[in-house]
Amino acid sequence: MAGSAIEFRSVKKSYGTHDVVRTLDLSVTPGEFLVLLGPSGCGKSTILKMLAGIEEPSSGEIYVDGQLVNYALPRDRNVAMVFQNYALYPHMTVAENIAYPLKASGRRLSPGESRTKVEEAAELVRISDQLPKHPDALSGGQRQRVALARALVREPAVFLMDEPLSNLDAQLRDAMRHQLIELHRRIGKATIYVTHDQLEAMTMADRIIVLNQGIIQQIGSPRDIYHSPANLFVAEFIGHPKMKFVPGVSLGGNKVRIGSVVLTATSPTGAEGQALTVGLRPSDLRIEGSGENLIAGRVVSSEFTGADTYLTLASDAGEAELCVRSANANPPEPGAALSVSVAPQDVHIFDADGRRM
Amino acid sequence: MTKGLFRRRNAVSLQPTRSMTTIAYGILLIGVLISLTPFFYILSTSLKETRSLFSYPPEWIPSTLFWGNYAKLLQETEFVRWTFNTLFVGVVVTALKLVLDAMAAYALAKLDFFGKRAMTGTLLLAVAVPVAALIIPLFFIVRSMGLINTWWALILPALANPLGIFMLRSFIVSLPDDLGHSARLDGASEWRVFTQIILPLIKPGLVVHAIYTFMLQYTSFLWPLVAIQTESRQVLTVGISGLKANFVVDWGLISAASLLATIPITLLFIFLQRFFLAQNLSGALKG
Repeated sequence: MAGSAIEFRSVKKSYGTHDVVRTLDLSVTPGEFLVLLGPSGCGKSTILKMLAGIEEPSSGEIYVDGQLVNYALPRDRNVAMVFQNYALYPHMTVAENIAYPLKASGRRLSPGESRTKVEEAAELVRISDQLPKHPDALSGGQRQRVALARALVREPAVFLMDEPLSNLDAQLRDAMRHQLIELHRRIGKATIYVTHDQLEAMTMADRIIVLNQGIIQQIGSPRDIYHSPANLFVAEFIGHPKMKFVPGVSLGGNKVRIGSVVLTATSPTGAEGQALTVGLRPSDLRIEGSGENLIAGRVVSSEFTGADTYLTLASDAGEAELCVRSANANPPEPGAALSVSVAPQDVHIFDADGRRM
Repeated sequence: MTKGLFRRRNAVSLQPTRSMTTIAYGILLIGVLISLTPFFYILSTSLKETRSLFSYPPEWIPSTLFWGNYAKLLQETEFVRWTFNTLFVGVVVTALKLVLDAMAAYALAKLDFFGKRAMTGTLLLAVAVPVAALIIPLFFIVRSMGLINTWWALILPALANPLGIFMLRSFIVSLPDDLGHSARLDGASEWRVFTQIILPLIKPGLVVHAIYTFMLQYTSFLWPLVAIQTESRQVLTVGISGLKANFVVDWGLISAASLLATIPITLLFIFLQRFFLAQNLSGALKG
């Protein structure tokens, strides 16, 4: 595709008979923040490594800024990568770590120019006061910033980030997430970000690619992926708490029966009598709803999480239990009768192969 | 309750008691004595005249210090030349082995190439062959190359010992792969990755390797005995052994030579031991 910052054409990666990435076709536009999301071992880091030149693709072509890079050395690909474990050079100071790409790439910079670039990169990630220290004197968050500054100083065409926040504690992760978004906005370079954390993916991405077993399950904006999951895997993987699945039978048109309840969906449910799976998100079920798509049940247990309480519901929608979010300060106690309703657009219907209908 | 808890905690404390410390120091002292006694005996012998060596009761500390053995050693033998030869060969072999072994170890530890497993296995087999079994074939090879009685006869065979490769390989294997990946992405060539990232991080391994190689070379006897027949290339071990005449053994002279021979290696060890401190790798990876 013309104007792509990154392009994968039919890229495959196998180790022996084990396929890690199966036929990847993907294009990333300049300035886009693309997140590869999936469980461990789904091939997302391998995609990043193939792009960086650390791994060779088994077949297919990879382009960076329109240039075929399959046979280019990592240093000639114009990409910078932030590793999950930071990979800082422990025998160098923070300043030397940040300056290393300028030195190693053989760019003829005067010491003054080099120092200015290092200081600018350090300033950008707010570690200017740490420059004389060695990495072992820094906290996890500071090390992560040094790794970022080292990537920034090269001024590459593309940034690659391999789970850069996964080793930080929750509080620091939140702060760094916001700073990364801000940094990307200022730098404006194409970025591929690998994570298994859906919250990171949803909050940071322009587009998300959900991967499983080396196969792209869905590509779309965070909203698309959340509201219209392409299959059962994406539906289950995205959203917390997870979407609940209930076996159902099509009644034709837009109607489906689960247990003794008939629900109306916005999409056609296929031929009458066809076996289906119905997915309902806890956040989409409304307590004390009325009218259409009403499900009656009884609270089995409740889980207080602070702002919300999640209630597990045994209902007349079959044997599978549902989960419903309650923002009420005094939610129903276990044993209490409870009716919930769901809007037709929030009734997710999947066929027997797990594909969205 | 709290007091009781603390008391019980103290009871199972891993802090050594005074008696345990005393026993430990006692055992260490015995070890030190066992180690130092031969050294002291050689020192004592080197400072006595030959005729008083066999006096009874034995004189552990000579009543008068006799420096004649040292004077004779330095004036009437080729001791200084042997020392120079030994140091020269030791330094050259150590320097070359550090370079060659570190490069080979890096290749075996971090690079992928055709035949890597077979090469590793072959080198490992070579480690298992005892030196004594190699002496005769080695002699024929070196002689056929016309290198007998040359420096190369002492240097080249020592370079072929693959043990150092495996020692350094174990240090390099323990370094995270991402350090190399990161450096390559930063623009470093393979040579820069090796010299600027890997080598500084295995400094303790290089020091251990240097000391081990130098000591092995310094104390090597059998091969120099076979490979060098001229006095001008002779090394300390063979030279000192040659001080024994056919019927008369001048133990005072030999002791003085042995004692002086230990000085360079002791100094080297003292100088390099500070590098044994484990390299601090913390900070390279996640905290």
